[in-house]
Amino acid sequence: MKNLKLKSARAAKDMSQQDLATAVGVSRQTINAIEKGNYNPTIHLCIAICKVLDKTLDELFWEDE
Amino acid sequence: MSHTISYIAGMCCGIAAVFLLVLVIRILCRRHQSISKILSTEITYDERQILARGKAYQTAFLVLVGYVLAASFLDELLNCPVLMSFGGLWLGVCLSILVFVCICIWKDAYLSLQENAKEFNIMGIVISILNLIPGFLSLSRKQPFLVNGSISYRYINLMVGGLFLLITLLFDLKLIYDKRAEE
Repeated sequence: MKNLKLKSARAAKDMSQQDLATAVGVSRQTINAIEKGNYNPTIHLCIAICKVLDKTLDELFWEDE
Repeated sequence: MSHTISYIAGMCCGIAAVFLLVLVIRILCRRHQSISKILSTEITYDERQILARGKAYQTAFLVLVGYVLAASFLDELLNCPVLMSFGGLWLGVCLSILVFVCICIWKDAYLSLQENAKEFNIMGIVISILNLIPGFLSLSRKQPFLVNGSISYRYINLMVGGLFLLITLLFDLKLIYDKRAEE
């Protein structure tokens, strides 16, 4: 399932995939894979992304039913 | 397969020279931080890449096991030792490396966070040229590909050169594919 919340939060911060990837220490393709729903990040990476985007885990990674 | 003393001595000198060079570089790196930074070999992959590389290693290992089994089967049961030689087994190693690299490239897990495509292309082309030159020299001298029914070690350079050329081409094709997908 695509992670549109992450994509919109990143766009709201005016960050490219590369910017976010550099900030959390992963490759751009990994951020792309998370946004496309092709990769489930570890909790460690989720927290790093949340800190950079000033969001909570719930806001970015909790799936609404 | 018998070689002259000078040939064996040349091989030993070559191997010793490589070890010596590595040793000198290591000592220089330890003593001078600036050299260490220039020759930095620190490679880091992110968590997705580590996972993808692990699966690629697994597949490549199974390919190598399959190749060795096939080589043994051909030799023992069918009396065809074509793959049971230094050159033949190198072909298997090249095949498993190709499988590993193909999977890594396809899953964007080949380049570490420090490397870039330009560096990789230059390295790939240089290594393939360095191997293809002696490989084609062997071809021009009309060295037989099969010696006593087994693949000759003289074609290892050609295999390695071809492998790196193929890897570089695949890598560039994936870059083009990704760019088109983004557009």
